[in-house]
Amino acid sequence: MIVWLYPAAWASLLAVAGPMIVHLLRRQRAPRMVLPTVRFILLRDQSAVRVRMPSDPGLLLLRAAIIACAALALARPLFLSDARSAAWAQRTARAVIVDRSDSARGFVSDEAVTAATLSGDPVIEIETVDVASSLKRASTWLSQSPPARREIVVLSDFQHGSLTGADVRTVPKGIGLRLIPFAPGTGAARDVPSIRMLATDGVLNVRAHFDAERTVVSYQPAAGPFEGLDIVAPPPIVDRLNRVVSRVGAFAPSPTQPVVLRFQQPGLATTPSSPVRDWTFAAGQRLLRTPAIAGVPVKVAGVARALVIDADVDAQSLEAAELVKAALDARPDPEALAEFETARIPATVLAGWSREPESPEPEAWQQSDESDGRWLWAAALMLLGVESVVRRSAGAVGEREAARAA
Amino acid sequence: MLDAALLSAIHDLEFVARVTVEGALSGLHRSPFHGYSAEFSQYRHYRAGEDLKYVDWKLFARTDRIYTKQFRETTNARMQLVVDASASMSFRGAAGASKLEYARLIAAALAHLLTFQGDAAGLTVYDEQIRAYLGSRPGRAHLRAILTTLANTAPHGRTASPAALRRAIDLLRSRGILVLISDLYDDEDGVVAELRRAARMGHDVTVFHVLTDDEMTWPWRGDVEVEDSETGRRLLTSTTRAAEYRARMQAFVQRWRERCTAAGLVYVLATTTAPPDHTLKEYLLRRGRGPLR
Repeated sequence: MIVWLYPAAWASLLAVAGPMIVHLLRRQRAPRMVLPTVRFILLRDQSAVRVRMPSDPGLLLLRAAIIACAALALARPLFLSDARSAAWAQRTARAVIVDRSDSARGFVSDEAVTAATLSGDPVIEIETVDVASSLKRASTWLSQSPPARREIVVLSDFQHGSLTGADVRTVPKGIGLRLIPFAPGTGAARDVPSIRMLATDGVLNVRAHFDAERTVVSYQPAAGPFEGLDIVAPPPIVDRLNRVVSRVGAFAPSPTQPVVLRFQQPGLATTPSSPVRDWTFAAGQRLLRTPAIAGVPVKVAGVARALVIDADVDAQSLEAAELVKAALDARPDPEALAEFETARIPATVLAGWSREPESPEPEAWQQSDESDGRWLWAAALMLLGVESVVRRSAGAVGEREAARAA
Repeated sequence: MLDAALLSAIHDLEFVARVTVEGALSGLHRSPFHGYSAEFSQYRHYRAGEDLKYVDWKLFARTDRIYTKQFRETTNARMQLVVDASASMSFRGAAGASKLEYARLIAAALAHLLTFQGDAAGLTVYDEQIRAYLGSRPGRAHLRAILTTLANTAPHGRTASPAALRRAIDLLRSRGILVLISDLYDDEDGVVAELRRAARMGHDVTVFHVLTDDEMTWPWRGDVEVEDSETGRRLLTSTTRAAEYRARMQAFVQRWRERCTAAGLVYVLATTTAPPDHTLKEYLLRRGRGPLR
């Protein structure tokens, strides 16, 4: 069976009409001759100069065949033979996801990665700190890969929560999933240092304890000054903003990570050409990526170890409150917090999620990077050579006739 | 055999004319072009009182009757050559000379012939108007003037033969020879009317119809854009119409032949591929073996 990978190119078959159209539209330039008189050439003797029969139908057909071959080659024909299907079934396209998070660091060896990628054809290696989101990326890449068995290999320590059943179900059916844990079953229990949070009741100290079986979080009212947030606005507005943010909840400001917010102030903050890579740089990047303030005109700069945010919005608007919360939440690294998890996904669950890749689907040829159009290109080139020979011989005959006439 | 193309390439028109005339006269039993001041005309019965010196005694001996010979006083022949030098005469076929070059050869040869038999030759060159006029005079000096005028003639403009003929006929005061050398692409009725008028006036009128083989046969292949050399009009035609073109061309030639014959004119079809001496010989034979007068 023959299939066409780019059937839209069939439209170029219309170009076959090109030589004929050119022939019909081209004004035949008859040789001009000065005669003593044209009185013996009556008006009805005039020949039609546009529409006329092709002077050399064979040559015209040859040229049409060349264009047809080229057009069909552009459509990328593919002969679906049993041998080709078997070759596709033996090939495995593999996406290898390597967990490079802090928790996995030191467990995933380069040898293991090399072993996983070695047999893939084609293969892609995705290094990530977020295994779940990388599954989607791997699935997308595999769905666009040439016909083959498709498989995702995940090398990770599989922290509890790093991958869920919902994440696994996003992987399309037919794509195999192989989950290779590279860490001890369970890590040692860990405590997260106190985190100050803004809440309706004021500032709270949040403490977390991770062990193999559970995570314990405790809240305690915090004492101490409310420092680290400087909103340049009239006091009533600043008070209103603080109340709104406290009601929604956010990380509390800290005097060691001060944040300055300015609304519609002249002289917007500008990032230095060589910014200091302190906490303000990472926090500023996270702030700008926050979906809640997408579209808000904001400029961020780190000035004297403080995060300075200039926003071209009204301080009394809801966007201003969203910006205050985003600025506070951007300071600590959420990914770093996630790395405190010590529990691992059980091996039985991983085994349940794993599955073998299936043979390529019948429609897999649509992704093929192969084409049998080269035979048509070869035919077009051969016909081009024949056309050249025919044209030259016709020209030589014409010259001989012209010489004879002369 | 003289090649028209070769002769036209020779700048010495006097030499060319002489060669052409010699070629034309060679082979004729007797040159019919020697002038006589008094020439035998006819016999008639003797009448009493007539001078006996005109009695043909030999005839009396044969027939036993007395005849006297009558002579006609002859003067030098006066020939006016009327040469068409319009743009259509510039046409040159694939082979041979252009029509004007051929006409020039014929005119030069005739002028040379007339001059060397002691007669007078004149020349009128015209296109839309008369471009040169030389009256009929004898003598080599005048012949050189004619040849120089012919040599300097170049094709140009449209054709207006009737007016030029009328002028040439009017200027040819006494009876003489009028020779029109043209391709006759003109107002046929007007030209014939003038020629007939000349014949009625007693002139000996000859028409050299100069054409090329190509324009008579249409040898070109395929589509051809033709341009009228005089009007500039352009037409597209093709080989498929060649047969009709040839038929119309032959009808044109035949029509001229018949009209000239009917009017008592001498018509000579002069194709440029024919040797000019042959054309001249044909003309001389056509006129008969009488002297040019």
